[in-house]
Amino acid sequence: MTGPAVVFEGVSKFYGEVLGVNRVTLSIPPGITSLVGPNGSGKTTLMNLMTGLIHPDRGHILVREIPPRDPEALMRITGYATQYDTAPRWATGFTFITTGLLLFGFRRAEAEEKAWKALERVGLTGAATRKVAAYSKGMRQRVRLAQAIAHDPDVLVLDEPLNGLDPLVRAETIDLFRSWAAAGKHVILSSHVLQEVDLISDQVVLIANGTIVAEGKIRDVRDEIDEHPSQFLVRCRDASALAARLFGEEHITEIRLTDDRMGLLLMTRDPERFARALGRIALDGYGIEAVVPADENVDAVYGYLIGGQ
Amino acid sequence: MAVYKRGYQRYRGPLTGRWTRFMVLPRNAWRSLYQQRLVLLLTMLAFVWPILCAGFIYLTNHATLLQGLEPEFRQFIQVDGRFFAIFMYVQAGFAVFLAALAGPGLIAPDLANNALPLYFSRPLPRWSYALARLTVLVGMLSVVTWVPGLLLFGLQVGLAGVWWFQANWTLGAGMFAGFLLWLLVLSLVAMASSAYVKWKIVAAAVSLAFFFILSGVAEMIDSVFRVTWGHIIDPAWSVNQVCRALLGIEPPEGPGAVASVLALAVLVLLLVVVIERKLRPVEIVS
Amino acid sequence: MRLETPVVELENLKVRLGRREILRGITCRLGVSGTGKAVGLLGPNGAGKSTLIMTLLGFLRPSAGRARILGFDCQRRMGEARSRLGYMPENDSFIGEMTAVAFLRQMAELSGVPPDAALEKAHEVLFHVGLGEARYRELRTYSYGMKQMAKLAQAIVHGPELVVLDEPTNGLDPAARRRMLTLIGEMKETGMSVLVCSHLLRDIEQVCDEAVILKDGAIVHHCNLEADRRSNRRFVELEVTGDDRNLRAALPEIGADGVPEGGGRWRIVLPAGVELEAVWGLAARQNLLVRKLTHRRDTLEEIFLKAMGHLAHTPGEGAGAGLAGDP
Repeated sequence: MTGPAVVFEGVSKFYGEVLGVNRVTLSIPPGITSLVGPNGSGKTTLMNLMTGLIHPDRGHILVREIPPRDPEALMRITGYATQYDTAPRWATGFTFITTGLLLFGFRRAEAEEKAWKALERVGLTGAATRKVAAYSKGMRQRVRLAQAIAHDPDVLVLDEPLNGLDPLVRAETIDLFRSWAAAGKHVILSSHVLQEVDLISDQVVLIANGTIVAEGKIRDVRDEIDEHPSQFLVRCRDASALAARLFGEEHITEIRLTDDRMGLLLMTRDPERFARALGRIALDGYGIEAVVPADENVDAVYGYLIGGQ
Repeated sequence: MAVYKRGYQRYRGPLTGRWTRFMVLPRNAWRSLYQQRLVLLLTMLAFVWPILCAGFIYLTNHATLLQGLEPEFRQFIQVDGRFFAIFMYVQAGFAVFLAALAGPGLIAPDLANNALPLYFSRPLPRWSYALARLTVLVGMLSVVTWVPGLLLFGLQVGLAGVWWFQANWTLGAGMFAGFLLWLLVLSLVAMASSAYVKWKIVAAAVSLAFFFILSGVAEMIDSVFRVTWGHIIDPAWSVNQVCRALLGIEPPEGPGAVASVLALAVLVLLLVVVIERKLRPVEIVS
Repeated sequence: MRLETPVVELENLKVRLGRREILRGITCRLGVSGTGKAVGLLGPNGAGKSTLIMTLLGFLRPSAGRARILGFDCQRRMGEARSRLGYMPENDSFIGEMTAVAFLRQMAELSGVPPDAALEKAHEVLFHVGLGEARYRELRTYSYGMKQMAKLAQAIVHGPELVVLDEPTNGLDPAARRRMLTLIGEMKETGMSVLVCSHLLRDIEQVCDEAVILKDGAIVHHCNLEADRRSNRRFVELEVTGDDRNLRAALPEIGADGVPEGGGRWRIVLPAGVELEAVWGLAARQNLLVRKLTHRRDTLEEIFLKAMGHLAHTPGEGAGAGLAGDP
């Protein structure tokens, strides 16, 4: 474990009868961590718990050694960008952020400087003097991000931060996350776009029904799921002949021909032996054009562990 | 044995015509409105007075039953302009409350969750949508106003004979026109409050208050400034003037029928403009 | 003899909103009616995508030029066009107090479906989009994902020829997103043309056959994704396990060249005349296990970035240029 962590120990939270999270134990190291799960699975509850907005019914939480019951200290090191799209009617982008900073206790000059810096980082300086109510969806998303980072927190909690952003701004925002992660901060975000989660996250937390289903680096998580053999997609000129040859390998459990008969989808219990076997077989002229692991991504792991509920 | 591969199949059949499509919204609205108990109750209550009036008409036309009464009294019991005026007052009152009940649900639900683009992306022009909503109210209110009114008129004609019709057909036409005018104003006010107010109860209150408040303000103007033209801003009063003119009864002091018609025309125009602004599929925020 | 009608046809279309000119003279022909293909509409915020959609639906008037949808003029003949259209707006759009069945039935009837057929189709479509069990519940009790599906349902219930989808997968969790994309595929199979507007390039890649990129009110790129799917055979992505430090030096042995990306990942360019088998042979000789080997084609993201001016060449173009024997 490198550096300070965000720790949950046996945390449960219920809203009356309604389940928030149920006995969650988690340790999140610095870097980019993605929370992934269906709607209503407890992601927002976890985020609210982390930022001290609600308190657990059971268990302890420590955010970089600070318990959420010490809000003064906690709020200084956390920044939270919620998914809720509201801002005061009177607020311009600039005043929205400055007011927040004043509440932190910064003096006006410093607050304004920090606000500008934050707006620069998200690329909203042009629109800073317009009312937030007139912003487009993507701009409101960015102004929320700006207010979360304005006070230079160490732990950033972002609820679906890329929702509604066009591809360019997405890419820029992802670069922003990467730079913070490189500086040793926690960037904890939730997302439904699994391909992006794959690309940007250092680790992943899968949550469903209020419990943690899996956590860690994606490949480690995949490797640990024994019940499902690894899937590979192979494209080659002579697929049926290749299939016949591969059936002779005993770690292969299933092979399916693709509709165009130029490819195979196969399952193997031992990816390493498969790679070795394929390396040998490829030299025998089957015209193997492509080999792609089909399920080492968050999408596949999500499907295995959470499924289509 | 056969395996049926059914599931969703794209609709490729014939399409209905413009009028059938126009009537979709009114039909659905009427169905759901008349399922409400309060609406049903109020509608039924609104028939009490017409029934009583029918009895009255029967009485006046069977002189034998009136034998024992004083001549002056007999003069009083005539089916004339005044009779229809009283009929109209009562029914118009019921119409106001029915409009307040049925009005709020006209447009507010469509605006509350941004359903207008779904309507206007269909072959339903804006004016058609507005007219359909108007039809809902006008239809409901007609059932308690000019429909029983004309039935009563018909009853009187049937009992009194053609000569009575020739002498008094203006009464029937006047009642019809007067009611229509009142319905139009009521419906537009109800639609406007439904378009601008989200909560049903508040919308109902607003459409009722509209008339009472204007009436009160008119009275205030009259007494404060000691004039009689204050009532020009009171739509209820204006409609009343027009009806009295059509039925041939003495009008009260104040702006005459022509001025009232003009005032009402202005009001109707304002309401139409105000409603049109809300029926946009695209909100343009500068 | 039937002429091929494009799904969308624009002739120097200009549209103003207030004082600003949003669309500055766009001309293009997209899709072919009746062939069940999908067109993607992409672009940064403010490029004019929503404005274009609003104009195509007849909600906004062009200030100059013409727009035609399914061959019908968007200003003059929208009445006829609209019974053949379905629209799924980006924002929440429903009538809270109606049940799903009542809502769909009304929408179908408004589009011209006869009343009894409308009720049948309402039920069918609700089952089809996965709302079967909840179809008698009022729409205001629905979760976000369910409301999205209901929005899609009302767009297709009357069997339109063209469906316009504005950010259909926005905010959907992964399972719902997969279902939505599958549904779109099924719609195409029944012969419906689809116009999709989305920020998620992967979704467009998966579902669309053609894509148009808008920027500042003009079209900056129009690509035929179907043609692009034929991979650039000369550009290879390789991922190996084992000690790959010598691989770069060894690549010229087979006449190829490559760049390491870290973690065992390599980008390799094969000139003409060099077959993939050579790569397998090389890996075997270097004692490397091949984890992944695939031809790389330009992803839509790269095409997009280039169109926006953030990329001078897409990698595929770069690879091609290096081989054509340019001086």
